[in-house]
Amino acid sequence: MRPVILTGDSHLGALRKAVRSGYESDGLDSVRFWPLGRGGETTNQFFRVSNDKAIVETIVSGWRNRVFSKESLLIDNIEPILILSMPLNTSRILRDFSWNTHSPWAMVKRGRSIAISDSFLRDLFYEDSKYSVAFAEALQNVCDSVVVLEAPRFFRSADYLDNYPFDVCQLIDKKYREFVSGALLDKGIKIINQPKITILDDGTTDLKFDHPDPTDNHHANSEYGKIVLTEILRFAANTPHTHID
Amino acid sequence: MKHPYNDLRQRAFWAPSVAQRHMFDIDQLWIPDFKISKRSKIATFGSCFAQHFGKALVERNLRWLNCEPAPAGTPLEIAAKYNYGVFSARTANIYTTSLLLQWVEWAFKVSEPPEVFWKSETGRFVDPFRPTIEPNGFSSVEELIASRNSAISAFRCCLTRSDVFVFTLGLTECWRDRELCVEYPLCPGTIAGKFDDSRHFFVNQQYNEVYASLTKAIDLIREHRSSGPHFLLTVSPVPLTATNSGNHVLVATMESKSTLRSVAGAVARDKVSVSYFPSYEIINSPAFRGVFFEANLRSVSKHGVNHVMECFFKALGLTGMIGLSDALSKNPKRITTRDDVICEEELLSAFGDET
Repeated sequence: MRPVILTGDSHLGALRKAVRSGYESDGLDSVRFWPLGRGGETTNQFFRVSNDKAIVETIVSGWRNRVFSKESLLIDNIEPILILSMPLNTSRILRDFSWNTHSPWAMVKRGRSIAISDSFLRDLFYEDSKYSVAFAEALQNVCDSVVVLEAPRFFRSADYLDNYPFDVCQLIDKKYREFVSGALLDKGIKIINQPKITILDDGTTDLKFDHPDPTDNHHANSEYGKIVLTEILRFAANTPHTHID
Repeated sequence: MKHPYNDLRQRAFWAPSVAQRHMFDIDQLWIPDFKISKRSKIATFGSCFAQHFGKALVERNLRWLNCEPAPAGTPLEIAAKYNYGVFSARTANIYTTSLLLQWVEWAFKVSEPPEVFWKSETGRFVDPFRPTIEPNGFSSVEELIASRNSAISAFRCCLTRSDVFVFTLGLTECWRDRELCVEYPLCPGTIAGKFDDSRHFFVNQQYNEVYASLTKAIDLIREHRSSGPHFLLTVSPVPLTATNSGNHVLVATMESKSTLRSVAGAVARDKVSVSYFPSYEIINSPAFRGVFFEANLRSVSKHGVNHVMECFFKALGLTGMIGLSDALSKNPKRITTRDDVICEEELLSAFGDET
């Protein structure tokens, strides 16, 4: 099986903890973790690219910064699949805007919230995701198989739901994922979607996968990590090798 | 010899208060009729020049009323692109007093806006009453109507909550629709839509009509309140871009502005708690030698806007508060949130000191 490098934000934590908790599977020993840092930093320019595009380097203070190049990525002379946990993450777009006072136009209740247009919403999505999508695109120059790992959908326990209407958050989450998925697919970047069995009918992540720390209603647990790792390994098993001599 | 001029203050005489002064020392142009304090909630609407009022109020940390802000957290560039923060609601420019009355009537449901829309060259839907409010138009009529309804609600909020309502009169020339009995801020067909001479017609409003619309709007607003608001009227000093009057645009500009200036002054005299602020005179009077215009002799320079606002705040005793604009013009630095801390903790607990 082709080796896998998992890189990106804190949502890799669930996968790492899955391994630590005894998850076993064929091919697991060819998985490497290259965590970078918290996703909140990705709304600014967090990486640089060499002139010849052969090196992509993260440059955030406080991150576990990495240099990505064809050479640095090789594992036993084999080009890995580079799986990035980063662009498809709706936490900022749900948390950092005032969805208690504003709604997508189709959901506004007259006199209760301010209608915002689809076009405006798309601009917000673009602004939030542009650097991480660009990062994925830049990585395509140093690895022939760059794949984005979708972050878990929000939990019903998310604390912004105390103030923001649930149906508005549902719609924003859905639209954001559609927008960013479209941007990635346009660039030929594949996506490993959140496994369907972890998603409830209302579009949230099943609370049985919620982080064990009650103050953390953002990350998933190791059980979630196991399911996702299984998906990743299945994907890797079906991806052809590139052996460098 | 004793006569009434003996008792007048210096500001009533040209020589000592204008001719013998450097232009930047000409002061006491306006004595406020009512108190405006740092706590006053001030709404601003009108023509292009009115935008400067809102910005200046924000820069000086006064309470500019914004009833239709962008969602908190929106980057400044995106908010500006979608015309948030230009006026106190996203009404777009309200150039004439009749357009003001139209918006006020919609706000208080005296009438309803028609479900009319224009199409842009790209096939998107454009609100005829706010043609440039969205940079790319709307995707559907439903979206357009929802957005307009939000603007009307926000405008109503401004009418009922403001302590001071600032209105900048811009034009007398306008375009109306005889079928729908409405007025548009722009001629159909210029930005979007199609001009139809069987229904669209030009009006160059005369004094009586401008006066009547303004007083009716003021009365209607005050009918819906137990008290207030104060009104501050100004006239935009910006010349017309174009005229359909048949006159030379310079001549048409003078006539329009003269009419608006006369109305504003008359309403300020005739109505309680309405004041006229002379931004028009500051920019246009020969005493200021035209220094506040850009090279096109039409756009007001940043220095002109600053000087107008300085005169305004000085008259209110609210000077010395500038210097905040730099901080306010930049996107706020992203602060570390609780979720950032949680993400750090997750990384540490999962990866510890692994490299």
